[in-house]
Amino acid sequence: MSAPVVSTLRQPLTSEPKSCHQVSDEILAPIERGPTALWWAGLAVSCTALLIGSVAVTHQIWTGIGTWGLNKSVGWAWDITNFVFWVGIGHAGTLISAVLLLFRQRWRTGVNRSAEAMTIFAVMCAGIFPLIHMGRPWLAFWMAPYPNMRGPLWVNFRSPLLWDAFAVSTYFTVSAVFWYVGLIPDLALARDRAVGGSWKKKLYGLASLGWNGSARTWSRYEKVCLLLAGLATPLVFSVHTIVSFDFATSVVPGWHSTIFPPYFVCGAIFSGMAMVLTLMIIARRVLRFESYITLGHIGAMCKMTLMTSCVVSLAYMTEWFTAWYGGNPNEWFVVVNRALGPYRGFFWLMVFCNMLVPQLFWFEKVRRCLPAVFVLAILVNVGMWLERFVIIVTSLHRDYLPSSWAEYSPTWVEIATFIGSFGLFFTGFFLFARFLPFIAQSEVKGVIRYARAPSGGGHAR
Amino acid sequence: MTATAAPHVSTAATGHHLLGAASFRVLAGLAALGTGALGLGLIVAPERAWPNLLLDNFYLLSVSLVGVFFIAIHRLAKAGWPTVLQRVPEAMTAYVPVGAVLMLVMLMGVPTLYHWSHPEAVAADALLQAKAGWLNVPAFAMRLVVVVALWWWLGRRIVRVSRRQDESGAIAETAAGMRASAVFTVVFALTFTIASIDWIMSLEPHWFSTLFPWYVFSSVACGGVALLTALLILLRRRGYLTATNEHHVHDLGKWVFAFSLFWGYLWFSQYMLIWYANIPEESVYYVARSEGGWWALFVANPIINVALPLLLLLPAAWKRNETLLFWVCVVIVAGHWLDLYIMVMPSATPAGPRIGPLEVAAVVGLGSLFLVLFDRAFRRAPMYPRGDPYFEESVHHHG
Repeated sequence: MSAPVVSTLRQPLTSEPKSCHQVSDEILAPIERGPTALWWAGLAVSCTALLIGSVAVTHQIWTGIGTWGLNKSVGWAWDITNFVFWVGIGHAGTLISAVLLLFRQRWRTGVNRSAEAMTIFAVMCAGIFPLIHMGRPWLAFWMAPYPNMRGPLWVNFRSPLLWDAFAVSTYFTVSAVFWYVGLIPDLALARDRAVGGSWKKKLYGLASLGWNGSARTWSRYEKVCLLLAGLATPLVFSVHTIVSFDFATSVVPGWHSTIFPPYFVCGAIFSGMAMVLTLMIIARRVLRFESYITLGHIGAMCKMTLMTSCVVSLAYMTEWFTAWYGGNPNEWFVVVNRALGPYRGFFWLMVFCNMLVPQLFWFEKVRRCLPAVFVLAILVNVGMWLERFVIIVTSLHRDYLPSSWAEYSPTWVEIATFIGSFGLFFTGFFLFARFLPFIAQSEVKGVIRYARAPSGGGHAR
Repeated sequence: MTATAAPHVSTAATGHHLLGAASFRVLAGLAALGTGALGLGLIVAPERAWPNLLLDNFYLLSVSLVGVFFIAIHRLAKAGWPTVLQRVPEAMTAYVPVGAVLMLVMLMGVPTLYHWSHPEAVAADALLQAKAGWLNVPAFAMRLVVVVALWWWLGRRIVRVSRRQDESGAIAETAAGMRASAVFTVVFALTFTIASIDWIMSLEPHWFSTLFPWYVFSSVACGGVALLTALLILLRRRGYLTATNEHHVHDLGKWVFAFSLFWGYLWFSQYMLIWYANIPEESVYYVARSEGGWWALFVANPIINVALPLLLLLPAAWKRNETLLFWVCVVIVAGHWLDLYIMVMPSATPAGPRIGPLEVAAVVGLGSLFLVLFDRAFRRAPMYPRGDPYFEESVHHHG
């Protein structure tokens, strides 16, 4: 087959020419060379955070969710903020692995594996919060609509909270399957390279499900990946759409807004892209993957962040305008209360982080300056957390009845649980980076020749 | 990668056209007759003619702007594949100036179209008084002028960059095209939001929905991409743009499919949330559309615009079947006209839809005008943007 014709404007996807053997060596190096001191240190910190969270979770399940700072007016606060925050983070992974596959964005091969891993750990973190919020998490199985002996007691299919349980669990399942299927050829490579008879060879052999690398296996593999991408794409939309329904189906001013579904989806991708950027900027350095996760990859993700920021900004402005235009004084009060009320600091920091900060990504100089990208990405993460907090708390704390107006602040239990969710996320991520191929080496091998002259050298910039 | 000359791209690319001489004359005649009849209607039956002018002109203007939008987003994404067919969306933009002028003409119909423009109505209505800072004739006119002027100017800039590159082949033009596309996309997002609130949503000035601008956009985007696809297939049948292959058609089919599902997603989101919350000030919009003569059209809308493309365009082989794709696209172009009809007309004819000679004249007249302008613009430009550095890649596109 002749090489595909590509424009002279195209840049190679690895920053230096690679052979297939080199790709295998370099990508499996972090698994094969054993843990470094830095890895142990990182794991220790995240395990500590996880431990703090575990203590807090045990305490609140033992004592009850009265340990939270919720009150008569603010019935949702940190718990649901954190839930939406983590579910949102997950979206970028699915977008990169599924949507960008359908859009033939070949640069995704450098980051898809780790972004999908991020998705899975983020969804796990998200699941903690509604589970605890049930109050009696040991009865969580009551959400499943199975024939039961509790009388005519069925789950409430009209509640978006139930739709959430289905949407998030479907999303988690498909994401995990997609991620695992993608891993199989890479696990087989780890198996083939491990020393014969070692426990490593046995475990990787078991995990790679007898992958033999034949043409037929590859053909099936590619078909499965395409099908899963097709299935995962609607899930990118459905999960955060249903999360937005949790709010938008209500009649609470500031929550009931028809723009919520697409706006939440876009906000989710926005926050997730920022998290991928945060992780990749560190990982490429620590794991020595600078030539695989190049400035081109970082730049492309910056552009996605910019684009989603613009859409989210348009949604904010549409909401503010419509709150006035609609002529409903309660809607308008919510907007004014957000901007000038007791939580105004959060509101304006949110506007700064989500609307203004990403505008710097218009400039190529900023997109190529890693410290700047790192700081901006963290600000976006902060901004998107604040967005959920502002939406949830400011709509509740001053309701129709001024005598029940109240303010909310988190207790140590809630803060510790949130820290614990970061602990879970990073513990998962560190273990992933240590034991599984961080980059989809088989896919990278398919793009190492992209935009390079057949002789093997790239053309001059 | 060295760009090799594509052997099957004919160099004698002149005389390309959509309409033959006879059909061009027929359509030009129909355009004159239809717009003439519509013009007459504006005098004789203004309460019926103005909504038709708004509906058809807004649809065609938006669809032609989707041509610009199509070029802009692909330039921004550095997509190589559509370069070879770029003259089709470029020629679609030929309607923009006409549409802009007709929007200015529509300003004369504001008293007929918009209830909020009557001072006595505002005086008796607290809600309209609260909105008067936005919904008043001078502000409305000023926004309209700014919006259509921006569309005209920024759309032209994008097409011009491509023409300059035809001659110079300069790579710098690609960067200029990207800048123009970025400016267009940002400005278009803001201005289209304003346009759909002002021109369509304010027909029912009490009602509001935050999703509405995006919903209108998704509708015209479906119509625009479907029209683009249908025009490309027609041109291929006529033996032009033969450097496009089945993969280009397939990719356009994917866009039609994706936009249709996106529209369905927004249709459902808006309807479901308003139905679920059931607040009278919001549900009044759907009540008006699901009662009386409007019910059948309201139900037909999602069937035509989501169920049909979902069923007929899901298999890859069906998207590559040009005859099937062509007819699905024709139905979708009509389907999103219907969607807009359901947005616009209930405020004019609350009892039910009325299709008469005037409606037919408006559709045939402005539709023919669109095709004539498209054909004229398509003939005048070289058939391929050969100077574009993505051209060879686009010709060699294979999925």
